Amino acid sequence: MSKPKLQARMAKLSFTEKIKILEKLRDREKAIAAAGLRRKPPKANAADEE
Amino acid sequence: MKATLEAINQMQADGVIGKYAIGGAVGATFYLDPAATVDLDIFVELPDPERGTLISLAPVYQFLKSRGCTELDEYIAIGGWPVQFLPPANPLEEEAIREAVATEAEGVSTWIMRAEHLVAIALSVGRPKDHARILKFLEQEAVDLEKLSVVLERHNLTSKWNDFGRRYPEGGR
Repeated sequence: MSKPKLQARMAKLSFTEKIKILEKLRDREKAIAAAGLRRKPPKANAADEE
Repeated sequence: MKATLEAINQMQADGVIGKYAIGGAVGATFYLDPAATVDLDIFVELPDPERGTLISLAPVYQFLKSRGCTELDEYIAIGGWPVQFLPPANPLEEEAIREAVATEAEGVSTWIMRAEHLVAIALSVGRPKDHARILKFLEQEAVDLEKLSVVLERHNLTSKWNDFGRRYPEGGR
């Protein structure tokens, strides 16, 4: 299924169903953050170190 | 979310807060496909603030902390969701609360901002994630452009909207 079609299908879900998805997404975000898997921004002075 | 909304509704029933409306990413999810967010933005009227005094959220925090909720920086955790209570900062946000749409989530009554107010507030805040949300509203045809235009005009955001259109000409308008 194409991304726009999937988005359209998801947008038609009830608010309650969407909230359940939001909670799963929130838990995933928390797990990623807790595991330190988030990409860190490059150091501002990285070029200076080279 | 059920416990979160029940606690907020109880605060309203007890007169700690007045009318409220869900905004931000959770509010947008009412109209769009769900997008990851870690917090819940509640725009809230506080009952009868004294004229000339600073608006204080202390009664809200006292109410929630007495029921076991914990404070996390600018948030307070209610039922697993970090919630940010935002008193209206301008007439646009006041209107967005006043005209919010009644709905239900997990069997609990609540209020969501209208799509045109969510877009107008995102435009006025103007961070990259706000622009991305506006583009989603446009791409998914989830906002009535005529109603949006009226709101933007009323709150002097038309010029900013035109700038947005020039910056994102692919925005589907």
